[in-house]
Order: sequence, then structure tokens, then C-alpha cells
Amino acid sequence: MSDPTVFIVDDDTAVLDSVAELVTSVGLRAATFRSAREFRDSFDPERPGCLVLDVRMAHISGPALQDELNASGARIPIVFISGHGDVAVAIKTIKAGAVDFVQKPYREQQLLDSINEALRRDAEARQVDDSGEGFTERLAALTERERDVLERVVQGSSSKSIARALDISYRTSGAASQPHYGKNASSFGRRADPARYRAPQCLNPPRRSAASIRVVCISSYCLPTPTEIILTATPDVRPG
Amino acid sequence: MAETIHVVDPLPDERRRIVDALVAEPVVVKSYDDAVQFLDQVAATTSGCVLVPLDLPGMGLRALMDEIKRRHLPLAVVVLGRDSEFAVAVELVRYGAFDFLEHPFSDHHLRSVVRRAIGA
Repeated sequence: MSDPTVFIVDDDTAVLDSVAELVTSVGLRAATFRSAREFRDSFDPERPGCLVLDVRMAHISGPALQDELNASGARIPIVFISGHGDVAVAIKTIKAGAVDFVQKPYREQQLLDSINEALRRDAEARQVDDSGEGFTERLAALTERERDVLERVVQGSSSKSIARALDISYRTSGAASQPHYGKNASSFGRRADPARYRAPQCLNPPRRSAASIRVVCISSYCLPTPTEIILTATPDVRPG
Repeated sequence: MAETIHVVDPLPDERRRIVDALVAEPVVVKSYDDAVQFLDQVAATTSGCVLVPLDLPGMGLRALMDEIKRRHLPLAVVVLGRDSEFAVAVELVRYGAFDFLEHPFSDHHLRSVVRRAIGA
């Protein structure tokens, strides 16, 4: 695997240059783009790295690019930088999976820390990818019901609709390395890359019953960043 | 089963304001003076959201979110605070908060955030 690259997208060339300089000054590779379109045209999801993205750009904004990348199943971790302190925009991007949202003027170390975190997440996700065996074993350890839930999560169902469809009560919890999005697992599911999610082909058709599920721990093979989603049924019932 | 909105705030006027804003919503609203009282009383099967101020005294927001997570309570945490706290708001959402509502906010805005938080 090649060295990771920090892809920087900003239509302000002064910012573009200064971020690139900061990145290369600590020995990282930088690639610069003056627009979201320019980045998108050359984007190769197989290239390891992360994205540093400005919020306000002409034509395609940073958050709009993020939405596009999410919709296409791309998992490159994103650090946003912005000169405008719109909290609502920042929160939206974080909940859509951004690693961080850095306000200008930024402390250089803060931006570097976020970039390093983003690169770490990318490397971890790619490691999980490569260890296909581990995934198959983990998958095999799930019950039919649990795999059913997994499939629905990846397809983007909210926890509530999963519970309704499977006729179970539910409790959900996020986990350490990702924000806890309350009960809505669909933000994870929406970013799953169907091409990478091989599991449905190796599963038997799931059985549906009124039984409750005990616990599903999902390692994020198919999700953008290392994530655990734990769905717990109440009351606790032995898995079928 | 109706969703429950847990309002945690030491200030009675704040609690009352929020409770009043949610009076017509199809939810149960419970209010508490502090986080410890909330954690003592909250049922394990409760589902809904928690509204807390950014400057929550006592255990603090992160400890509260840790405990909610530890108990697997299906509660989205919405933090209410000043808009000058940009970096803090971002950090809280990264840590796990569902949303951050800046003062001053309208009742209408509060209701729409609560609805999203409970998945309505």
C-alpha cells in the first residue's frame, strides 16, 4: 500500500498553499485541488489518505461534496476547515461522518492533530478491509436474527424501523470510536458501500420471528470508519 | 409507548420554559434538578432524549454521556448552550451528543430538534 496522501480542497489558493505547506512540513504527502469538481474528477477511493475540505466554495460546497462521497460509498475521512462559524453546519458535517471541523484561524497543531486522526481512521478501515477472514468469522458468529439486523442497518434503516419490521423492542447504543447518534443507526447505513458489503451473498435467507435479539456487535467492515453498533433488545432474551 | 423527554437543568425557569414548549407534543416530559437525580430515576427501558445545558454543574456532560452509554440507555443527548461555544459544541457532537441548540432558540426550533432526536 502506498503512503497516504492528504487531499486538500479549497478555492482560496492562499489557504490551499498554507495547508499544503503545513502538511509537507511534517513529512506527509499533500495533493491540492482548487474545487470540489477538480478533486472529484481525480478521486480514486483505493488511494489511502484523508481529505481537508473548505466549507464555502463556489459551485460545490464542502458539505455538498461530503454528501456526494457518502452517497457513493466513499469512505475517505474528512477534516473541514472554515472561516465561518456556523455551528449548525459544523454539527451536520460531524454527524455525516467528518472527523473534525476546524475554525479559522486555526492553531496549526490542532489541524495536524485532526489530520493525523483522519489518517489513522483511514488506515484502520483499510486494515479491516484486508483482513477479510476476520470479518467472515465475525459474521459467522452472528445469529440469523442478528445478521438480519446487520443487513438492515447497512441498508440504512433506522433502529426504530428495524425494530418494527422484526417485531421486537430495542435499545441501541453507539460506541467509543464514533459519535453516539442516539437511536438512529441510519447515518451509518447510508454511508455503507454496497460493493464492499459482501455478507448478503453468503447468508441464508434470514428467518423472521417475534423473538427479541440479544446483542449485535457489528465491526465496521462495511462502514466508513471503525465503528461498533450494539443493538440490545429488552428484555434480554437468548438468541434464536 | 411514548418517547420521554428528560429535561435536566438546575434553573426552574429554564425547565418550565422547555416543559411548556413541549406541552402539545406526543411525548412524556420529565424534569430534574441535576444529572444525578436524572440518573437515579431514569428507567432502563426509557427511550427518548435528554436536554441538558452546556454548563451542566456537577458531573459534567461527558461523564453524563458516558453513563448513558454505559447503561445502553436509548437516549439522544441534546445540549443547549451559547453560540460562542463553537469548538465545544463540535467536540460534544464528536463525543456523542445528538445536537447542539444555541441560545436564544425559539420554541418551534426546540420542538423540531426534539422531534429529530427521538426519530420522529
